[in-house]
Amino acid sequence: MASGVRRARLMLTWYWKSGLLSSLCLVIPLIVSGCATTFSPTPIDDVPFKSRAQIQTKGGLTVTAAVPTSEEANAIYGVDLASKEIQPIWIEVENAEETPYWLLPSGLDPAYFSAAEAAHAFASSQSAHDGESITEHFQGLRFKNPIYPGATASGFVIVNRDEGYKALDIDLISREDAASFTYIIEDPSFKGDYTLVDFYTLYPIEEITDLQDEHALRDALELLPCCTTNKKGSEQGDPLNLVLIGNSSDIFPALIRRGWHGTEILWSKSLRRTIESFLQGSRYRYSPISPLYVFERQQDLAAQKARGTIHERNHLRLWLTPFRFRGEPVWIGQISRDIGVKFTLKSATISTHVIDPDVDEARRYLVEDLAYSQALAKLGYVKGVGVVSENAPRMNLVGDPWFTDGLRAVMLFEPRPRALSDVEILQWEWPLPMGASASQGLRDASQ
Amino acid sequence: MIIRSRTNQGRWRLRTILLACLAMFAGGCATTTFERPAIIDAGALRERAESAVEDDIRVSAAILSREESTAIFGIDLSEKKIQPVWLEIENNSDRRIYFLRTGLDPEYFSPREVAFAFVESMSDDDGKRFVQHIESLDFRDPIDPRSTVSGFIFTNEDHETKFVSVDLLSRGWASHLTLLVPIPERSISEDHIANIQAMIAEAKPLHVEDGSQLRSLLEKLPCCTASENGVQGEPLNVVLIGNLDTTGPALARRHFRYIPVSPLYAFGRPQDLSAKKVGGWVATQPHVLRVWLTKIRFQGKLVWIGQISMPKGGRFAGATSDESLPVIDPDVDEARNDLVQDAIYSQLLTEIGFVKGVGPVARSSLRTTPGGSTYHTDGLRAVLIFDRVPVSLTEIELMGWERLTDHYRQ
Repeated sequence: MASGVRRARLMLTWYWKSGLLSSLCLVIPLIVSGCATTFSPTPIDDVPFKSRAQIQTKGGLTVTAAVPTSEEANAIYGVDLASKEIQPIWIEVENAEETPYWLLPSGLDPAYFSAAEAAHAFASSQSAHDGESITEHFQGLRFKNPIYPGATASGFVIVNRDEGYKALDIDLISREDAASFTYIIEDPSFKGDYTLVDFYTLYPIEEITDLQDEHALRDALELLPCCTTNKKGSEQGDPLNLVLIGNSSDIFPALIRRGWHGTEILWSKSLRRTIESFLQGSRYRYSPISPLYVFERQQDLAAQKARGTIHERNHLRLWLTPFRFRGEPVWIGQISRDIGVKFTLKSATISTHVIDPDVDEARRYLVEDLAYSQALAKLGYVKGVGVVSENAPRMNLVGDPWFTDGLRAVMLFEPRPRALSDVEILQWEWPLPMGASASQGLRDASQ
Repeated sequence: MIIRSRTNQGRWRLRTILLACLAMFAGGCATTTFERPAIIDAGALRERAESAVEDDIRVSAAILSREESTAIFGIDLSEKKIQPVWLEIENNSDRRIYFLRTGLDPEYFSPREVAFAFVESMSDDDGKRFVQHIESLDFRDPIDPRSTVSGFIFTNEDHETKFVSVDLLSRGWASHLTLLVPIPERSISEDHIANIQAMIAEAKPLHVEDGSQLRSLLEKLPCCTASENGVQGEPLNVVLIGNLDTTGPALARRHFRYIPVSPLYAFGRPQDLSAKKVGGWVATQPHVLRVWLTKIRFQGKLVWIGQISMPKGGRFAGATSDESLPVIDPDVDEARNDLVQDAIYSQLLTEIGFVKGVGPVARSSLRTTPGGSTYHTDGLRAVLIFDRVPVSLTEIELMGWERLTDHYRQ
């Protein structure tokens, strides 16, 4: 017996020395939580996530939404949802209208999970009895339609997990009507770019100009800096080719609705994941974006939209300007389409993206993408950097060439939903037809 | 001291990774040569293209075979899973029109991106000529009044039939057209779409104008699918009303793809069409939809009856489950309700209603199907009526038929 203990102790020392123990320490809790013999979720009211809930009211509908952290979700569900890249959203609807309403989970996430589907991820590896109680527990926690007149319904919808801020589109329909609510809820554990900037104190009140008139807005936008710069401000980079105007609760959900995600600031974990995703071409959605400068500071906010792999994604950087238009914030920004990756010593991320030199194409992409966001109200163009021809391209800070018609797209956002045909066009500048100088390679035999 | 040595170690690790990456890059350097193909005749493409005309605008689209792709681009773009769509828009109106390529494929490739995927392995000269060539073939906006523009949009690969969704925009005006374009190298031998069009042409339709007559006809349709030898199976829980050019794109917009699945039977025949919800960059609930064309035509539109369900476990089902006829999730209403939502968000839905179908089957007394699945349901079928005009959430009408809310109150 005693020798057994000694042997175990010796082995422990050996493991410790060889560094194996530390990896075991990581593995053991995983195994234990993976086959938890006692499935014992915490009662929902004992988990304090609702203290961060946000409430909105429209007519007779009051909608409350809250997002538990991974740990809170773990407690409520009794299993580690985050390990399957899913998370629960808690919604409560109080219906003081005269008709029943239905919540549309598809609006929250078109790829949401049914309770049975999510439960299957955990129940299938359990004993039959535990598996059943997991499924029952998941079913019990879900949001159940409809919301009867005079009643309050609450529960969870399980969606794909986002890091950072979660934008929630909550749509309710009834026989007569539909009501839309939009929330942005922050995850305190995420180090996104935006958490670095305090938008409220970025500009002192006396530096802010609130423009009322569209002509004044146009003039102001044309005078904004043409391009991003390096940190010192001594070299110019990519052109600032877009302006977004509107309430944050209209603009950012519109971006998220179209699959744009916030980026993590450069810190080691994130950098490691970038390298991993570079090596595997995998899909890490939040890899950091290298800093560019305007107004002598790096981007206030960066977002990216991944397409096939990390090599193919679009990057968007935004800076808050000292202007407001009819009280709403005005952002200036830069968008580029990454078409591949190369190595550079000029960026802290080591690898950097090769951009499509036709930066107008990326601008066009964003305009179209946001036209589908249901929140774009007005679109126009103003002068920006000026024409840079394809034959004499400029270089950005990492040596990629770019050319442009020199305009910046201006997009104004309003509360959704708005149909595609409702986008109003501002009679300012307008991009030249793309085909103006192009020689067509495809000829018509009849011509 | 210790700290410094760790930092060095870190640096070395980075360098090793860097070297490994560089080696990967170098390894990828096969040489490809590019010869700019001779000018190509668009006439042949136009001849076999699918076309639609509306509001003085003609839209034609064709998908290239591999051979054609190689002939036109000098390289087979399908090597990188890029599927070029040839598009021609003839504008006989007074408007200047813009085409929204994001509507056709939200993850489309820019011409230079297409070029970049191949130039790596080309000499500098070849690369430059290739970029220019791809650019010159791009579809270029806008389409001026009384003019025609043609060119290519570089999309992600589809395998059977491509729903080419064309959103056109002008000041204060928008239009939507959809073309069902066959893909030359599709993997199934028979052309389902052609078969269905033949079926529509040959059918002796039962024309219905009135909503309440429609309702009673829908309630008399078979309750369930059957096995080949007639044993009752899963409930027929959806009715889609709309022509192929509206229901198809409505489903396609919500990531349903036309994919053949194992046969279930109704009206003595296997499903006429099937689709799976596959998702884009993010996987969606993997619903399987089978539909059969009925004889009913409601206000001139085709009426389809169908069955939608999710394989048990959904995205978390193990790879071991039998693909040919997977067991379905017993809560079939969940899949039906998800389809209703997809229809709502497709912006092509005008009306929703519910009619009686198989009738209630309680959770406590599950019904079994010949495929070995069990299910429970409220017994209703969702009726979804589609139209080609864009419809926003607030404009969808709900028919006062069976009231789902009454069913759930019990």
